Amino acid sequence: MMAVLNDADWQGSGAAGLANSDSRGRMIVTVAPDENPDFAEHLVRAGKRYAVALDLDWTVVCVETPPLLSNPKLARDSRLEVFRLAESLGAGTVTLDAAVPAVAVAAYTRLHGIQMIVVGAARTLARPRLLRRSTMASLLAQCSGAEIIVIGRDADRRAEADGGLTATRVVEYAHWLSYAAALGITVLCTLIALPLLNHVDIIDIVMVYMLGATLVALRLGRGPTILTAVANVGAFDFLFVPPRFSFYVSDSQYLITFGVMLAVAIIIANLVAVVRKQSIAAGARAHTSAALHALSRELAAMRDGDAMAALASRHIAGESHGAVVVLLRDNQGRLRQPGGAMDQRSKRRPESAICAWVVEHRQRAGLGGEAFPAERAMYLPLVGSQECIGVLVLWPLDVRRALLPEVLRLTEALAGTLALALERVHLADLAEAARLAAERAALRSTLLASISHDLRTPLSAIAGAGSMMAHESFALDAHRVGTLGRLIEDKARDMTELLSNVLELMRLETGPGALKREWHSVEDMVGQALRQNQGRLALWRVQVALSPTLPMLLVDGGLIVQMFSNFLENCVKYTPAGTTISITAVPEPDLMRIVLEDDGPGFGDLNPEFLFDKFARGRLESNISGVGLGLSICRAIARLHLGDVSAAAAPSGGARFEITLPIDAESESRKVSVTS
Amino acid sequence: MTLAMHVVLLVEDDSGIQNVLRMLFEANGFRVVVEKTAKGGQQAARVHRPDIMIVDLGLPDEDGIRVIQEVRLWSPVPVIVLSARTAEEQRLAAFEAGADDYVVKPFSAPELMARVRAALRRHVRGELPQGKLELNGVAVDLSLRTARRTNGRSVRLTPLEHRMLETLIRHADRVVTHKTLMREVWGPHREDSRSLRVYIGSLRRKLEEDPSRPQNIVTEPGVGYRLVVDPKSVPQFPES
Repeated sequence: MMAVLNDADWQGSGAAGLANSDSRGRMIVTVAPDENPDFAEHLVRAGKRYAVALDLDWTVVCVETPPLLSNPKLARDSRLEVFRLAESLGAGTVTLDAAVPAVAVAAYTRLHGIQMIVVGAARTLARPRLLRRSTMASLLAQCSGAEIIVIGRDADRRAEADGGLTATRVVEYAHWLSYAAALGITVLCTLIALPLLNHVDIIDIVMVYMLGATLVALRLGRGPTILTAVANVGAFDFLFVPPRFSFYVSDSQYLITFGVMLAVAIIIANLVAVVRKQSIAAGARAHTSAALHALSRELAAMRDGDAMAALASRHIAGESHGAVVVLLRDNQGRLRQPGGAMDQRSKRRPESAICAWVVEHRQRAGLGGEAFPAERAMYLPLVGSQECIGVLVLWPLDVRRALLPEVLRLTEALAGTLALALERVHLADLAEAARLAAERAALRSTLLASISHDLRTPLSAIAGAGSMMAHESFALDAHRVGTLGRLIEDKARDMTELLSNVLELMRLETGPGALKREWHSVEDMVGQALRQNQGRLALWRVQVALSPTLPMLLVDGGLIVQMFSNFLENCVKYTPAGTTISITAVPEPDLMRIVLEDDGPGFGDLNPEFLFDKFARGRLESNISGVGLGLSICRAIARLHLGDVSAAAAPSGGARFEITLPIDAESESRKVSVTS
Repeated sequence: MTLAMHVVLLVEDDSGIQNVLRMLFEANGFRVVVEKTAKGGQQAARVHRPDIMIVDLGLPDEDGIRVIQEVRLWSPVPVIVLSARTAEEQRLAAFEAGADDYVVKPFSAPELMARVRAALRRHVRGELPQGKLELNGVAVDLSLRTARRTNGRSVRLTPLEHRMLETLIRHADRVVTHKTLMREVWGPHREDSRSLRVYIGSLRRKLEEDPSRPQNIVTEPGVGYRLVVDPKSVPQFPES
């Protein structure tokens, strides 16, 4: 049987009118969360018929009320069945959160321009609602403009519904301890009241019982409160109301007292029950937002996509109770598991076909999804604002719990938070790469301009000297030939040095991929640099003070030696012969501080930082060879090792260069490989 | 020692460098055989039985490394690599193929000649006798496992240091790669370059006057170490 109700004119806005409207109309089917499963299915199928007949977009709406949270599992599971059925029939599903279902449905109706609402007929409950209107009646009052279709129930369905409720009741009665405690309170009240009988008015004894009932209402729930109230009335009547020790009531005014005692206890118990359920619901919502907040706060501080994926996996696994694997797309669009290869032995391996489907459709798949619903795992897309960044795969321990809308929503929200954070990192990386590329292009042009000048000068000297030696007409004596020969050799060496510096700088600027890290001692590397510059340093005094207990460094030995070598070369170029150069090193908890100091002329008015710019030279227009690459190479090398180089005036007035290199380079190097 | 009538085999494809090297060696009293290809170099080595070979790595037909490997199959003739390749891996590959020394282009003529002479001396001298050895500023007695500085202080060597020094002496004046050293000191399957460097450091503190400027155990950057017995065998001005 079916009844059609509407407060607008049904004929005027009938089926034909809806079907002919320009955009497709929209319809909702409201299902009570604790609806009898068979009837819920009946409702959804009826909704489907209307939707097809009238060509409407339709959505199944379920309003979650605070009492829902204390409902037995059975009711929730049946709601999930309803949602699954609805999705399989092509409906959208929405869960609304509100204390009064009708208000939420009405608000949704207005917001989304819903034209038609399908509801089930009111249930006839064992306990009639005296003070509250049924959802249907409220809807009628609030949804003016929408058509409301009420689907009726038949008798045996109602019986089933009642059966369901009885089952619920049984669960509540199981808390027999509460009832025992409730009776205990009555006994206690009586014990307190008995000695007072001759000293106080009988009305004050009523107050003692009221206090007891209130305490029970606050602590033990509705059922025990009713029991206490009834027991209180009995005890009060039997022990205190004259004639005492009989249930006979001589004065009819006591009947009113009994009634008030009962009513007050029940009202308080009801109020407490409502407040408690609302606080549980609020607690659940607070938990959701706290979980989201915790994750996003931790993610905000991170710069490494793999670590972020690991962190979010932990959070989601904790919140959704299950195992989580996050797959991220790399630059080629392939999915890979961060933190190395997939564990081949693990039973929990994401299906690549499903992952690909999820990436392509940007939709949830697997367990509870439209596609691959038979899977044990849930596949969630990680969608940023532009593209699908990866897939989150969840193997819930408790499948039913994971599919609860509030849990599912939390899981999706956490996945969304991760996706946005990953996208932020990805965009930051892109911006960094673009900046590097621009810097590299600028470097290349400066380099070309500089090299063409610095190569032409020695080349012309070589060509000139060579031609003089080759032509007999110049009639050079042995001494002059020797001079020219040495000139050629010197200039060729300068050019070689320039060339190797340029090549080295290019290699360093293209990234840290070529770092060959091995364990090296500072002493050995300084020794190699000194040896390489033995000839140059003959007239300089070098003091090396390195403790034999210095920790080893995990560095690219060749590069670090070159860095020391560049510093020494620099000293030779820019300090007068006889200058003392001292080399010391101090280990600190996580870095090594190496200091090279000389007592030469120092930097003067020059800002030492300027020296680290490419092509910067201490003295402009000087006759000292080189293009000012040495120190910028030093800095590039130190920074590749996540250290740095700085220059300052030494106490002696000379130059002081300080190199810092991380000691625990092993973990540091991992960082660099991910962020660059 | 006279170097007269020593035969040098140059395997080098660039005619400019060929000319320079020919002039250099002839001026120093060598008889010079020049080959432009790896194949020709291998044949000439069998035909002319040179006293020393100078091999370029970038040859038109094959890599110069192949020449060294082929020659090492039958001859201990000193081989000096002369190459523009500067990367550590390439130096290492050349030493592992059996090269005695490695000179980087552009080279200086006196330096190349110094290295050629050192290689010849080493070849003539053969392996050092085990036992007592005079190094720069220190006398080592392998049988007693002690080292005595010329300033009088005497130190004992630990068994590992002793084994390491023994290995270095066996390859005296030649480069011992990290791999060889680790294999001979710790045995095969040992890939811990950290402890190798720790022991080299402690050995230097016992044998060197100034461990930060070692004279006896010299680092060959990126390749290995060299024990200097004959100071003339290591040029004073290595390539920078």
